[in-house]
Amino acid sequence: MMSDELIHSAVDGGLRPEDRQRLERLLAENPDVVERLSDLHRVSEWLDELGYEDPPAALVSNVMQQVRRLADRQQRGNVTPVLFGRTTMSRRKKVLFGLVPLPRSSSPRSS
Amino acid sequence: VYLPQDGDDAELVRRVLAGDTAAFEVLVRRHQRVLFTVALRMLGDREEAQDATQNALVKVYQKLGTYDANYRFFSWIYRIVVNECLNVRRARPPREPAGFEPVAAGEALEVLEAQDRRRRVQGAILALPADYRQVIVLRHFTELSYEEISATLAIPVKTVKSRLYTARQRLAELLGGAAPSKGSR
Repeated sequence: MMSDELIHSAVDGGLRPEDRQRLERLLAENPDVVERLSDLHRVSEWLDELGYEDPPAALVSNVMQQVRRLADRQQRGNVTPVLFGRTTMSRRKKVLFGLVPLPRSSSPRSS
Repeated sequence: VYLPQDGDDAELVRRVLAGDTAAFEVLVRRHQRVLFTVALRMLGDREEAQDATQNALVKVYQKLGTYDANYRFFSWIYRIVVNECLNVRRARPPREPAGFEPVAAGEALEVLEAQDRRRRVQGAILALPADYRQVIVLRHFTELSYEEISATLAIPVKTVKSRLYTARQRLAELLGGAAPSKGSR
């Protein structure tokens, strides 16, 4: 492991025991590395200090409102080709599903 | 904060694909806090972060049929959120990050310092180039491993590490001496 990798692994807390020994040697021999490691640890702490943020309360309902709209559309989109493919489907069912217009005789305007 | 559990997510994804939209709400509630935090750290603005998170989650729903179950679900949704944030950033001119909560008069110096430090750290994250910002945000606010970040961003692990190292180094330079210490300095 290169010294850079060693230093950043130490910041991430992912050092193996043999790497820990190497890092200790490196720190003992290089005061610059001690300072650098300390700076990086501090940056890491500050990032952690920012922490998580609570999302706005409306986020879930906004998303689900759109999702339900999409699901409705998808459902209609998926159903349509299957129904069109059914040759035995009655005209009444097709009217019911909005696949064909109402017959003129049943339209209130035509009476 | 929800810690991702693939088994649970996979079952919920299966239910959503079978037409159960209520299962999608469980996924949204489960991941919203981390996703919103990622968006906020990427964008620095709560309203934009909300829009980006919402848009990303709707895209998740729309694209769910293309999700490859061989990959971890949360990696996949984090990628969609990160891409959404990059689109938002591209679409608007750079700006100062929104401030944090206002400080009441008479509040302890320590509190003021902590708030100032948070504002500076958030500002420094936003000052990083997008490639570096992504890895810093994913590493520190989603607790993904190097390998998971690699899968999320579709870049090699080596690149994740080198970007992470450079990003931290730049943050240290940007914040060096400017941020109030926590007493350890």
